[in-house]
Amino acid sequence: MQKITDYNAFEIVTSIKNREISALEVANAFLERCKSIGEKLNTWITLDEDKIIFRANEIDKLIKNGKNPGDLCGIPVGIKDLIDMENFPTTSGSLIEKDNIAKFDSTIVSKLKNAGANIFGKLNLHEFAFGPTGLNPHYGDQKNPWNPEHMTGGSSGGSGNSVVTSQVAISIGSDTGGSIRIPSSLCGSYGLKPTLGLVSKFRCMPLSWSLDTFGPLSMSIEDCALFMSVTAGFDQNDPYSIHSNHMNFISKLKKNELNKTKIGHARSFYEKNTDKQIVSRIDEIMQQISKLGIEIIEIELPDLNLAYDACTSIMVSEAASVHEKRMRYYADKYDPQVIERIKPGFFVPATTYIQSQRFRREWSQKVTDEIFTKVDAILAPTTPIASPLRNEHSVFLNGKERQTRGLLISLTRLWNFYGGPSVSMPIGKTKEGLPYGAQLMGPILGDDKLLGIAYSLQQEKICKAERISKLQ
Amino acid sequence: MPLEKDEFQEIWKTLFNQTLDKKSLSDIQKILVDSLESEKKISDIISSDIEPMYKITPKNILGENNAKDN
Repeated sequence: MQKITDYNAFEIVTSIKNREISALEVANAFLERCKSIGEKLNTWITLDEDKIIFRANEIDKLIKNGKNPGDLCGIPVGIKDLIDMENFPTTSGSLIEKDNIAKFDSTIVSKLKNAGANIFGKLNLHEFAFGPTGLNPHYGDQKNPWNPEHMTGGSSGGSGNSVVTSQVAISIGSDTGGSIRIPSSLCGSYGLKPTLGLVSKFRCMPLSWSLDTFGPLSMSIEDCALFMSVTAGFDQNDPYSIHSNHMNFISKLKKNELNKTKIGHARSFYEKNTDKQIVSRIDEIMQQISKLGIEIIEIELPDLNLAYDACTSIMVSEAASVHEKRMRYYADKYDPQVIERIKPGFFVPATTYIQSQRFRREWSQKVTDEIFTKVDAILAPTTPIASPLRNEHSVFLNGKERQTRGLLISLTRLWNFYGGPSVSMPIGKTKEGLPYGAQLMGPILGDDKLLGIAYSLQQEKICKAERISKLQ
Repeated sequence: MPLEKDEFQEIWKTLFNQTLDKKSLSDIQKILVDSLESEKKISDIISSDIEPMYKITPKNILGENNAKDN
């Protein structure tokens, strides 16, 4: 018989609503794993057992009284600890913010609660979300569940290791340069970075306002779609917010027709600087999906180097602005590696920042007009390598020594610059048993269609997320 | 032209009342040189009437028809 902790979010909702299991049984089963596994992997910063049980009883009472608790009825959810939840500290993975108790819920939390989710607590992350490794000197390095000597990837490392070990069914991360997709790739889950502005950022700690997005990590594409169906939508409190009235995340999961789908293959975007094993697996997938009737079209992404440099100028300038006051008074409390990454932002001229944002508009327009009129999505690796050791600051790739940090974000940050959605899917494991992912990158506001394509690939077993029941 | 090293130090001292170590100075200089080189190329190629993209504006990116719901 299937264990409750192996259910995906859809199955949990259906089982609770049909009274086959109670929300309390679900909460207890997942909580047991948080206690036995979470501590070993440094998954959580705050986990409140009493509140979890209280919430489960509340949901069961609604069911008993014939009421509908919502589309996320009783689902155990973890949120990255830079998203405000009333009466919980929002530490952002930093000692500076350890006593920062949120007075109100963020829009994301409010929507999750209204839909009946059971929010278990706050997940560990790279300090202030500024790093792709998940290493954190204050709350402990987030550890890879497939081998705890290895990185989860980051910055949403607790979000990555929590879903793969069934501590929660869905976790929420943020993605400014790849922080949802990188831990998804390195831990072996699915992860969606939505279109900029589709999910509200109100009362969430920023890293770089014009690049930040919030989205789900989960063990199935259906669960990513379920999260989006509840959280996407206009929020007048978020100046970046946009409408999503035309999207239908759930129905698109069934209506996608692969033989009418066109996938772009931007080989030059990744091939030279990606591990050969991952390149071979992408080639194999291209052949597999071609047999399913998908048309593969070779494409070139324009002006890549300029886009990367412009993206860096934007990210460091905005991050410097976010952190200036904290750095003046609490510089000694930062992870020194995080502060080093913020420093250059104070020296980027205003004209460079503005020209970068102007170029970004033109580049995004060009990609939309020239690429997405020919293809529905682009397929590429999510990360050029599988998870490095936690103390591995540089790695040898294709005969050249490369800095781990730069390598990990090299294939993801472009889509934050573009602004469109990108979903990471687990596509294989190294001979050491460490997972790696591929990302489908879609056009701005094409999130539902993109999930539809990813769902079809999941149904065809091109990608597959595997849970870990016991740690090594 | 990128700033000289003592000018970096002066800016940093004004903002944070500290001095920058050698490694920070060379990292900052590298990023700055790269971004200024890119700025030169960018300002040569972008259209003169293009405005910055701080957020998604569907009408501009997707065109009137595709953005009608937004």
